[in-house]
Amino acid sequence: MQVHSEGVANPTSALRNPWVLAVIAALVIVLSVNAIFIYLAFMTNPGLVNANYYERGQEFEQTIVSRQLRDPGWLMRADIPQPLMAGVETPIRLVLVDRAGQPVDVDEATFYAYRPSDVARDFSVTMVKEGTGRYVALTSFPLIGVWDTLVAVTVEDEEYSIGERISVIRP
Amino acid sequence: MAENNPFPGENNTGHVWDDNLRELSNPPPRWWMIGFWLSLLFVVVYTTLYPSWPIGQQATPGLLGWTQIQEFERRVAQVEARRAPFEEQIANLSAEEIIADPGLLQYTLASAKVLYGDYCAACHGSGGQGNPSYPVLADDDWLYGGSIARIKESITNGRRGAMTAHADLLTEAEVDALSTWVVELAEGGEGSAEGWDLYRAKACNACHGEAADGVLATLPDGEIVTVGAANLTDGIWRFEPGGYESARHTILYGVNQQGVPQTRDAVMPAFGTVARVDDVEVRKLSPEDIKKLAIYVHQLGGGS
Repeated sequence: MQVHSEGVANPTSALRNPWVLAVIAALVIVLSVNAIFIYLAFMTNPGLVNANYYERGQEFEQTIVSRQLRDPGWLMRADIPQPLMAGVETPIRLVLVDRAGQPVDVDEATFYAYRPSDVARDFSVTMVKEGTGRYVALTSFPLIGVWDTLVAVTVEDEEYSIGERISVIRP
Repeated sequence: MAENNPFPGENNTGHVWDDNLRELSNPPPRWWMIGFWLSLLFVVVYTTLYPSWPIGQQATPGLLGWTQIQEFERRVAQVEARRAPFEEQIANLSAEEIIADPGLLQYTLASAKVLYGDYCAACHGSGGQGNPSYPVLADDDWLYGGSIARIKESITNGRRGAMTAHADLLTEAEVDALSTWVVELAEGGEGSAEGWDLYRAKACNACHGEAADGVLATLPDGEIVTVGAANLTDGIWRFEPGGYESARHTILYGVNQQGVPQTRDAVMPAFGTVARVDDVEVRKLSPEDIKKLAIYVHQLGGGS
């Protein structure tokens, strides 16, 4: 009886086995997808991370204290209508009064909208004065979902702001 | 080229590649030609019937005389025709009768919401939540009464609060004592006896009421008599942020006082009065619109 052992002895014969090839192919696919996603993560980084976050963290308390010192005690209230609908022009209003409740005018008022997941979608609108201490901005949010809003006013080089997280729905 | 054509008589263009690859000049399929001529015919018919070809500043009017503005007006008329039965009922029924009819109430509120956004939201907030210096409509605290009749009155004729500036009438100590007493009341306290004495002695009760709740009298039908003076006992500040400084400012400089630059500005415009502009009677809101808004505002605060 003759025994043919050529195939066993051939070191490359395992690569002809479809199961082995499938396992290798699966491994290659997984590693390729990982590589593509790592590449995309670098290339499409929305840049939301603060450049000097560590220093800002260290200065947190000092920032709070200095803000408290400068706080003029104004009451700022932004009126952001609910529900907000994507693509629908909506007026957003700001009313400011001082400590005694008298309207206050500022040098400039700006409405900022930040998209938490994509810095490229952030936008801002300069608010227009409607009356003493009253400002309005016509806004239209391009996407549904969560937005972080900030209304900032400047007066004599000081900036004061109020923020709110809002949700925009389908029209 | 035709004389060298190796494939004569088969309607080719004479272009031959690789010895036998020919370009034929077959006509397009019939269906394609039919579509082609029909589309040309459509263009001719359409541009004849409808405004199409630009000529200077205008365009050819078209035989049908169709215009976009007519189309718009036709659609608006359609919408108005659908609304007409509701609008007619609203015009003929009282606000109380409208509230009693759930279908009509739903229509009224939907319609009034748009009016509210256009005429009221800028000051009173998008949801009636008010703004600093502008009263909240979404609560049951009313300066001039919260019945439908009173709300209609406020919208139609507007409101103009008035409070005397006391800077020259009271001493600094009296202003301080009254401001402190007002804060005590607003925070739910009883208020000092000295404060109450001063309140009455200086005739503050003439407007703010004997109980400092802004009510001068209550009529048998439950309607209150008021001059629009704030309720000092409920913790709701007419001029936010409230507190000592706010109270002091109002006492010193009053409300809507001419010749007092620091006075509080508290004017609601009249939306129902008629003005003549170029001999045409103009009013901001029709009586029906005011009725709708009164119902809307009434339900915002739950009425009273």
